[in-house]
Amino acid sequence: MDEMEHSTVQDLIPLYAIGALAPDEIAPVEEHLAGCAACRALLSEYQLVAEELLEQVPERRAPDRIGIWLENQTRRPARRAPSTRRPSDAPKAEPFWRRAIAVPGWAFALAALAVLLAIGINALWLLQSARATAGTDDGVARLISAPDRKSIELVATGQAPGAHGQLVYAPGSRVCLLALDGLAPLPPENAYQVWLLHDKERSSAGLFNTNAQGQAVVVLQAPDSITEYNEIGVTVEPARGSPAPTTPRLLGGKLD
Amino acid sequence: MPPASAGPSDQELIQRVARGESDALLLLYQRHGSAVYALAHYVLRDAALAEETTQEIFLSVWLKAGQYRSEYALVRTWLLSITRHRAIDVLRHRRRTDHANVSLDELMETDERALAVNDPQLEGGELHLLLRQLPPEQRTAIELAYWSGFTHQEIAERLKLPVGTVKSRILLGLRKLRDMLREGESASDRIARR
Repeated sequence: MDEMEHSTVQDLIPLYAIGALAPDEIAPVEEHLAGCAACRALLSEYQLVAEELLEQVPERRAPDRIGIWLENQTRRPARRAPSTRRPSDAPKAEPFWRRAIAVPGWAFALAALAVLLAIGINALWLLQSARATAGTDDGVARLISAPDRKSIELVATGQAPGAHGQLVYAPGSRVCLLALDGLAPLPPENAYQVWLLHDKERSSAGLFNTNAQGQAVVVLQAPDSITEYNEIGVTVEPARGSPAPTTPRLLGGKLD
Repeated sequence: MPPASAGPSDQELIQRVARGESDALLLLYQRHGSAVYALAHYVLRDAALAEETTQEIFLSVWLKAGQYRSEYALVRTWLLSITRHRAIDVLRHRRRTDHANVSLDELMETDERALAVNDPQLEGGELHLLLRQLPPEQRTAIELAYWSGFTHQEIAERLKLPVGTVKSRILLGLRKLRDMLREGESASDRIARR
């Protein structure tokens, strides 16, 4: 690409500084900048303008739950070693409580069936919908085959009489299966949210809704090893999830 | 702009965050979280997306604080800059999908609302006042470029104007802003004061 004229670049630099150039205009400008001190000085002036623009947006109070969420994300035990964290380890953009439920595959269906049968839930709805999709969920597959697999019962509080559930997990694993029955299907604006408690610290482990019969089977992805937690609980929250419970617990159980 | 705060500087905090100290990250959030959220909200015009973007920015700081280079920008400027870039990425993605048909009038209407410096709940900014001294067509072009993420060609297409006209409007407007800042308190003065 031919090098741009100095005067042409000078006219483009303000647009470059605020990101208003078309993609095909950027490379020639940067090429010229690399060899032209005068244009770099000019760019610095307009970068200050751009920085001032950033500062001029009126402040707006952020929702308190962002701070709570951040605290929840960064103050769990056995936290990171930054120097060893790879970029691929970075969490995705969505709030963690929204992406906590794994996508079910055929292994999920099998495991869910085992759990459902164990607690007497009619799993026909699940089997009908869980087709043999491509791939497997390794975490669930390991859970199914784990020799030290455990299960605990979730008991309803007075808020959800008749509800019951079972959690299947393997010590040391983050993946666990939760099967529930006797819960009322929620409207679209709400979801059930699963909480794991470590001492008095709560972490969200996923959102779900039930089928029309009030049943649900969910794969939970705990933020840390499941054995790091003492209790599990379920509440009703907004459909997007909540950083902390906002309604009374419906079911709960103590982890070994 | 928050007043200069007592306690560790932002740069000290970011170094502590890089060492994995969560208290330092929370302090950074307390100082700059509202500005990050406000900027994301300003660009995205959607509270839920602004919230997600704010979460993403501070989580990114938690994971990548070691990448911060003080020689390029203040911590706050760095935070706001990555927030703007991320929000514009989200905005562009939305334009390509479900919000492809948002009209320019609608965009500008919301921009006007966002620029309501008389709102007692908002803290007006100097540049807002400066922007209001620009001819409306220059202000519009700059706002669409900087806060809505349009290139000058895209703005020309949406405003149904020649590309050269839009380019001139942005150029003239930014030159005026630069001159106004030169005449008043410069950004570097403000930086030195922090």
